[in-house]
Amino acid sequence: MLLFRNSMRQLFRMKGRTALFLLLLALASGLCSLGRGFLITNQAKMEAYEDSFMTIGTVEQKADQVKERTVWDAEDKDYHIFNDSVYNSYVPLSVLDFEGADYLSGPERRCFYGSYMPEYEMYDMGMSLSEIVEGSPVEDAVPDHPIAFRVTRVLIGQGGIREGHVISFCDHYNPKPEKLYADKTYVMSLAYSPGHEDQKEFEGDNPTEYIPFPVLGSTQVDMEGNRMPDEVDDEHFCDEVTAGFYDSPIGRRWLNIISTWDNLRHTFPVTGTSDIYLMMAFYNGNAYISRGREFTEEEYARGDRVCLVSEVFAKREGLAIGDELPLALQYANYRRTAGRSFATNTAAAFTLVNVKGEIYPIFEEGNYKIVGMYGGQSGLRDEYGLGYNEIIIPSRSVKHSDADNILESGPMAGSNTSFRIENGTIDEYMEKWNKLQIPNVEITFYDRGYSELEANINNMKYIARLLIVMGVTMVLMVLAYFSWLFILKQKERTAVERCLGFRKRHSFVSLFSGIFLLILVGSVCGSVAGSYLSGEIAGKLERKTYYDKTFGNSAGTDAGDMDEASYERVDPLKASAECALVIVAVGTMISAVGIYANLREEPMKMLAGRRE
Amino acid sequence: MELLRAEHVSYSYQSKYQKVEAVKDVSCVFEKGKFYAIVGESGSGKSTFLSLLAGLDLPCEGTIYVDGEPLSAMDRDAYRLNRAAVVYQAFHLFPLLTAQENVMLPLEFKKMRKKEAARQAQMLLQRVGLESRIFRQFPKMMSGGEQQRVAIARAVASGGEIILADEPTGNLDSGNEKNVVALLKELAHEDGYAVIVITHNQRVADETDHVFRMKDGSMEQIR
Repeated sequence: MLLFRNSMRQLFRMKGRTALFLLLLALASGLCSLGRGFLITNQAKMEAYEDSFMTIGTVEQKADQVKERTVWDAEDKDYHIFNDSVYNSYVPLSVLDFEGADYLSGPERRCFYGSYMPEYEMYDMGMSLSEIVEGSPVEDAVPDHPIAFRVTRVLIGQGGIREGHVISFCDHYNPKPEKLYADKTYVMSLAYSPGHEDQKEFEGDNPTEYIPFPVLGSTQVDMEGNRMPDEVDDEHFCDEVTAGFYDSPIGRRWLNIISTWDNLRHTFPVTGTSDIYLMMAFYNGNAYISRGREFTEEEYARGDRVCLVSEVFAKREGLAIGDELPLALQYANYRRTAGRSFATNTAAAFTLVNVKGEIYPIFEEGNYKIVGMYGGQSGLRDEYGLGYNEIIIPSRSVKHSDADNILESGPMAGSNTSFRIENGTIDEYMEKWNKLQIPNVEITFYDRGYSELEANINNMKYIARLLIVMGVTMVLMVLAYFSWLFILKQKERTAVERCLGFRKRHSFVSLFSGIFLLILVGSVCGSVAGSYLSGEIAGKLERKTYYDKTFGNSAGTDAGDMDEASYERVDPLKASAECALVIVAVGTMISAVGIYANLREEPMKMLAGRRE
Repeated sequence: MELLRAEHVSYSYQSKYQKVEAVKDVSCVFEKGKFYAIVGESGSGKSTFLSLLAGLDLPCEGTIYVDGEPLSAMDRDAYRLNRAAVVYQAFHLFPLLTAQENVMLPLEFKKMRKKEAARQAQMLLQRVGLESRIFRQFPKMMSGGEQQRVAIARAVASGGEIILADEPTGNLDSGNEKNVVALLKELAHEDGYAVIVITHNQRVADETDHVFRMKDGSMEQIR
């Protein structure tokens, strides 16, 4: 106690130096503690956010060229010019399999399948079908303008045309339509087309007309996406009905078309995927799992027969989690998405017969167990959205080839081709991708703001490291300087004490105890202040930071809530204790080294100032 | 009465370039109540011999006996604390302690209670001729003579029987020199201390009872 009191007494008689030492050490400890607090907080934030963010890339093949197409307009009596994208060939998905591409999911090229399920009915199908009717013109006429056409039989309709109706018909987009004869019967596929000024004589102030809706020519393509040859051309919409017509190949094709149109009300869009978040609707939160669960990694990998259905569809059909749906896949469409096709105000723009004129045979059949239901928007005529009643399945669950059932094909597009990579690896990925120099393929990344957040957090971590370096440097400098002042410059004191009979350990305690107390007080005060300050600053920064709240994967997920709760906060007491402990340990070491250096000196030599 | 005896004491050390034989085969006896001077030129080994007598180092050869007991076998820290005190030319007081605190430190270190130590310190400071106004002054506020008196009081406070003084008057004017020498003489003759002074000063040597001369590490008694 005497030694400690003596040590403190002498220190406090150097008030200025002691106060400066305490102040500087507290400041240096504060910087260390502040930096450490920032570093831990931001590290924890980054780790917490890592699971909340998701980075996907969508792939789009750009057209090789644009070609003009002229279309006749009977109303304007002129050609209209349209631009069509031309692709010399479709770039295969395999270009994305390059060395160094480290995917978490995908890449995948999605199609949607048509699954015929007669026991279930499509609700809000959205898609408009053509009306297939038989009839004759009221008088012989060339339909290069609206002509009166009497309907004698409705083979399939939307309710707009009834038998006996006289409708206005114009082969609107054909510059040289063939003449129709009043004594002949024709079967035609027609579409309702409102708003034609030249129809006022038929419709008064609300002029409308029916125009051809060609559905007879098959759109079937092979695996490479090439159109398969069909004897019926794409524009074919009308045939003369004669005796035995429906027994002829073309007549049977008409009947098959009528049959598929009827079946369409029971044909559901099914999309296969290896990760539902590769589908933009789920990624951006427009669709979310509202009941049940997502697919597991094992289900994806094994290709289990499980499915996700729309909550609305399930409710209307009385389906529950665990029920099974008998999917029977008829066709695959690689050009459009279900979101674009099964939506409000869309027309059935594809033909559901193959080039032989036959209905596509079922190529995959099985019972799929409902494991989850999704809510959110669908049927918005959005390529990136979900279609009405769309069913989601693991892509690997489709075991059989759809090679003979491909309805349409197209290039890779943002809506159907995507992959998922680690957060924060976009630059690394793009560096490798750009080296491949693949023309006309554009990759767009979506990361929900992760890059920006990561950059912000990295900046904060950089500042934190800077603070730590500054703090550690300052701590070392302060300890070194004051060790020199309080210890090495006290060699004489040690020597006198030794001459007075102090043992080495007494002299050690005499010098060390006071300095140790100063180091302890300075480092603890500074560390505590630094830790609380880091908490305060982190809190203020958080309140000022806006995070995108649109990425919730389920209803009610809120990034703001996550900010408050989901990452581990720095315990200020624990953090400051750890920081102070390290500084005290370093200070003790430096002091001890200095004191031992003092004690190594031979007292008489030092005090005499010479050895004789 | 014999208190300290050096028998064939030699001491050498390795300097940066060569081995230095600082003390060579020195034998001598120091008695209680006597005032001794060791004179010699700089580098003759006086201070080294004094540090051997203080037990701050041990001879390479030979033995120093204290009351017949070899110093090498004793607790040398306890020896300095209780029996032998050293006084320096440069005083070497603790600059951050007052005169009284400087004297109190060895007393308190020997477990004396604070009040008693303060009383004893004041008595010793008066004994060496210091006025009470000096007691609370820090060394830098005192004259050289006052500082040396405090140093002697601190040495006496150790309660020993040997005072080893290395050029105690080297930094003093002639007036203070006289006073300090008189004090040391008094401590030897009246209080029974064995006082051993290293000095270059013939006036100081003339005041002592016995004089030893050291030359190139060897010692001879010249009076």
